[in-house]
Amino acid sequence: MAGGPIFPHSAFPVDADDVFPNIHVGAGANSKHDEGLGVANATDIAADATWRLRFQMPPTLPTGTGKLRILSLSSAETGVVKPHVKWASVAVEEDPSAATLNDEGVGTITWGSADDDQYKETLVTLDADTLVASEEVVMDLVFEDASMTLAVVSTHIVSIIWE
Amino acid sequence: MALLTRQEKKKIASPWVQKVFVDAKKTANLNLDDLDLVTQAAEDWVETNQASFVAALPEPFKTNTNAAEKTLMLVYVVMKRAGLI
Repeated sequence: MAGGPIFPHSAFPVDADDVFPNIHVGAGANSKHDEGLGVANATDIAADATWRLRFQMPPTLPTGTGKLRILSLSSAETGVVKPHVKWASVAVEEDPSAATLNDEGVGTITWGSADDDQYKETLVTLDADTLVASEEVVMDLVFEDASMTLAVVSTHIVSIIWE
Repeated sequence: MALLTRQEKKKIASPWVQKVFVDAKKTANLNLDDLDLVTQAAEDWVETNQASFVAALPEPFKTNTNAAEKTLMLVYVVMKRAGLI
């Protein structure tokens, strides 16, 4: 059975000038605030910027394919952001700081006409390592400087799902 | 023409983005690639026209200032036009 979402219980902005906790404020008049992982705009970001994330897996994993789900918000109608997911599953009695992260490659989130303030969904299949029940997913979500063109701050809400 | 580096173009575009998109709460309808083109075009225009700017300057300012000081005066005049001072 499909499952999730599991949200990160820890999110540390490694490159604090370029990534930071953020609240996206939509232009609408109603429920317009979304808290998430903030990323500086392309004119300000100085280098690849990392959010370091931790997710606890449940005692029994759902069936289906495990994926990182990224919902992204920005006040933009043009521009791209380049998320780069690297992760590992770490067991109890193992050292997360010594774990080698496995590379899922670089994705692209594209804003186009009328995309401002809308949730944009990106799904990254987590198959560079194996998700394991009761283990800790240790992840670096890197926003790459090269080829990033989004000219305003973006906010990202991340979770792990199975579908 | 002096080709600006990506970092130089970003540094120029950053305060413009802050003023035009962020402070004004305007949806970003231009991206970094678009802004890179315009910062380079503006740089090229300045390079092409700097001699005519200097020629238009009156004395004793022209003789008693160096290139950076002349540029600074132009910057302040343009900032006044943009409502920044």
